[in-house]
Amino acid sequence: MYRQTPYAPSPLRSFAEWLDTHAWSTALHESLWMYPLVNSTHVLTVTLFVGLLLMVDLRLLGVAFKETPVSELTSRLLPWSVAGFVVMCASGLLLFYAIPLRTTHSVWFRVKVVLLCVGAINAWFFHRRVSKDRDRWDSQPKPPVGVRFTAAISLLTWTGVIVMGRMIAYNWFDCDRAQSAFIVWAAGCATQVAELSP
Amino acid sequence: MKRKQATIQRSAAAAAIAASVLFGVQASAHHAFGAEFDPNRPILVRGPVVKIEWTNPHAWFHVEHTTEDGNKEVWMMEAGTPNTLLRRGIHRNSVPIGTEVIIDGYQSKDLSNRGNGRQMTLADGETLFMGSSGTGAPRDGADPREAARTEDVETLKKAKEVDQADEEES
Amino acid sequence: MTWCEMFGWLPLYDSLEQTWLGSTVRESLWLMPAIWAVHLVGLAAIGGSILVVDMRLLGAGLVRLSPAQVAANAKPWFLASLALMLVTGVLLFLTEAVKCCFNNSFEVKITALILGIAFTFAVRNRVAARDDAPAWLMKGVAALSLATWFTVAAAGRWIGFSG
Repeated sequence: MYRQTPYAPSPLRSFAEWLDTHAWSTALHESLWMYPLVNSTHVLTVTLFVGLLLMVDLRLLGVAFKETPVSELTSRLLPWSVAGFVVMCASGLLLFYAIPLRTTHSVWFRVKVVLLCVGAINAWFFHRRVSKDRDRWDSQPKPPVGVRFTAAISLLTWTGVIVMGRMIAYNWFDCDRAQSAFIVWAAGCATQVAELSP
Repeated sequence: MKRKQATIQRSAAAAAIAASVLFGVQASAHHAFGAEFDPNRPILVRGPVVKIEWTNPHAWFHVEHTTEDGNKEVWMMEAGTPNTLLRRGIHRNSVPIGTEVIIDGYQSKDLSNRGNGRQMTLADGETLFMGSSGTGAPRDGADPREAARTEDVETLKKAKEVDQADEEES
Repeated sequence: MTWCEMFGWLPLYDSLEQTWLGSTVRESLWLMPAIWAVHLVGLAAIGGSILVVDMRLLGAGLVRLSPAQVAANAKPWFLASLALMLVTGVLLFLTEAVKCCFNNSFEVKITALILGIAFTFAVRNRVAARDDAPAWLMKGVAALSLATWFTVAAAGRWIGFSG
């Protein structure tokens, strides 16, 4: 005999459950065309966001566009990159909206969100701190080590975001499968711990 | 309860791992065969469709399969996207709940009651490819590896004969 | 109806799927996810290296540099990411070649890919390399390049949705 202990959902879980009740969420999840189109938009826009950011980061690393001032690349390419980022966020939110419960409990998605935050902090750090003395190294073929470091962090972070995004598709760590205690914790699986009654 | 090795070979152990009942079962997505399914575990699921999740990026057909010793167990069989299924003639109205189907495919690597659906056979003998990944997807049913799957086909024929016999009796 | 069906290439596709490489990747727990991930990172890289040049030809982005300068800087990254995409793409094809035989999106993608590679090396790179090309030519070439590569990426994504 199994006895189920009472379960109190976390606010995050409650939010996901609420989204899951939306008719539009279901409609998108079951759509013939919208889901594939939103997903394709999300995937293809990565060329604009990460692709152009890569060009800027390669310049900061001192391996491409060495004869061009850094400010030329940041001012001309970053607006396009940011536009791509906005489209990725919008389409990404829609994809989350279509499958809120599983995505909320996806370890891959959770790591992706953490990496997104790291990427955002790194970008803020670059623009607010690292770029303060940009005039000094703007035209240097190989910028100082601190600048190259933030560029490397940027590349690693956004690569990680892409990889994690892809991995959400796999069910290895889904909550509806038997998981280790660590995964249950990391995924925030809503466990109803069933105990053998005496 | 003891289970015999029935049409579907699987370990009962996986099913028994229900110590922690996890909920929020929302069908999972996937795009790789080997990452989730075992090509060396072909399965044949037969029975009424009890539930269909018409979801992206993969639809799931829940079929109530009766094992040789009479146990009923629900199997979740993965198919392609709703869009893919529509192209192959499978839509809400064509497979109402309760429809008797035979789905052959491959079992999940975690040995749970899940499979990657290869093709679905309806009572009238019509065979529809389910558009799942990794298992080939000919439109006309002429799978090049069909010869290697004669065992499945034999099982399928037998299943149909049993069905027909049942109908005649009733 | 795909070309593969029309011309009866299925046995060829099937034998490709049955190769040691195809089976190994398909049956492995983590190889396909890993290759997929690399393929997508490659998409970002190849996209950036194409966009930065075509944008310049259209008069956007790095306009203070000449098209030839932009193209020269982007070229090694384009070649490297193209190689990465081809290697991972072939591996992914081998895992489900039979499915691809019946997939229109796959054939659209491969056709656009061949056209894209040919156009890039034969026309677009040459136009970008000579800075005195007329504006209409630069813009036309860039638009064609973007349209072709967009088709490669979009049709590629659509292979999975049109199963």
